[in-house]
Amino acid sequence: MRASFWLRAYPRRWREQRADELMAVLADASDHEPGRIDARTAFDLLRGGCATRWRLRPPLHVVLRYRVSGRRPHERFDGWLRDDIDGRLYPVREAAWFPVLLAPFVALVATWWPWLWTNFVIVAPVVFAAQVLTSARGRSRERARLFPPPPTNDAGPWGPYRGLEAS
Amino acid sequence: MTLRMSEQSYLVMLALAEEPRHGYGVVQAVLTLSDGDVKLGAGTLYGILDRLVEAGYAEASGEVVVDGRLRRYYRLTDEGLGALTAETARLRALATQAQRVLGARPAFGGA
Repeated sequence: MRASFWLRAYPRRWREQRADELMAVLADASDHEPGRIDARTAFDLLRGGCATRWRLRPPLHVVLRYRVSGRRPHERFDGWLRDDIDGRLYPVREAAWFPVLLAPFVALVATWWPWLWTNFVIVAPVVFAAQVLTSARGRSRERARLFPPPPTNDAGPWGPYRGLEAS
Repeated sequence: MTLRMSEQSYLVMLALAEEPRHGYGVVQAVLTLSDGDVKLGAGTLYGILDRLVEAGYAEASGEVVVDGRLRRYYRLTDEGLGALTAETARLRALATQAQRVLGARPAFGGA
């Protein structure tokens, strides 16, 4: 098994900072050819990566507010936010909350109107697919909204006025 | 921030208390300290190191590249040393209590 594949269990920002030293430990500890690990080590990386993702993510209510209403999380979660919006599965994550949050409501109402399930099963994938496409196309716009460029001195390189006698 | 100290965390801190060590050095030291019982995987080790650094018990102390492999060294902070000393005292007291309880039991095979 390739170690680099299982290392993807860790958040992107964590990998950028720590992957080299972790790979060095794997290489030192392994009898396999470089870059390859056994199943036990792969499981250990998967577990460690998931635990790290869980530890570094914002609280659930912050994530929900961000997903559902687009409210920007606090600056201390910027690393997570950047990973989220740059991640390959960002459009899927953006689209997934709708059917996931709606399903319990549908399940409740379907106790009176069972046909609602049928409608949900037909409509939800269509809404999901549309939302995936919308999120993928609007990713750069959303990135610019969440991470606006810092203000620059757009007046140009004009310093303060100096008196003629100073030169 | 306080850290719930598992046996593995305790052993890692003990390994770092001896001297600054890099990741694989910690794995080897823990194996020695535990008489071969605890073999840390890389995922487990870095989870523990991350939590120790977050809690202020350990810090990165430098990096070297050996044979193209990056080795980042970690050392225990004063706060970490204090926490390790306190945990050792707690374990010692617990072991004393356990010996007292076991010593008070009647011997097996007795009347």
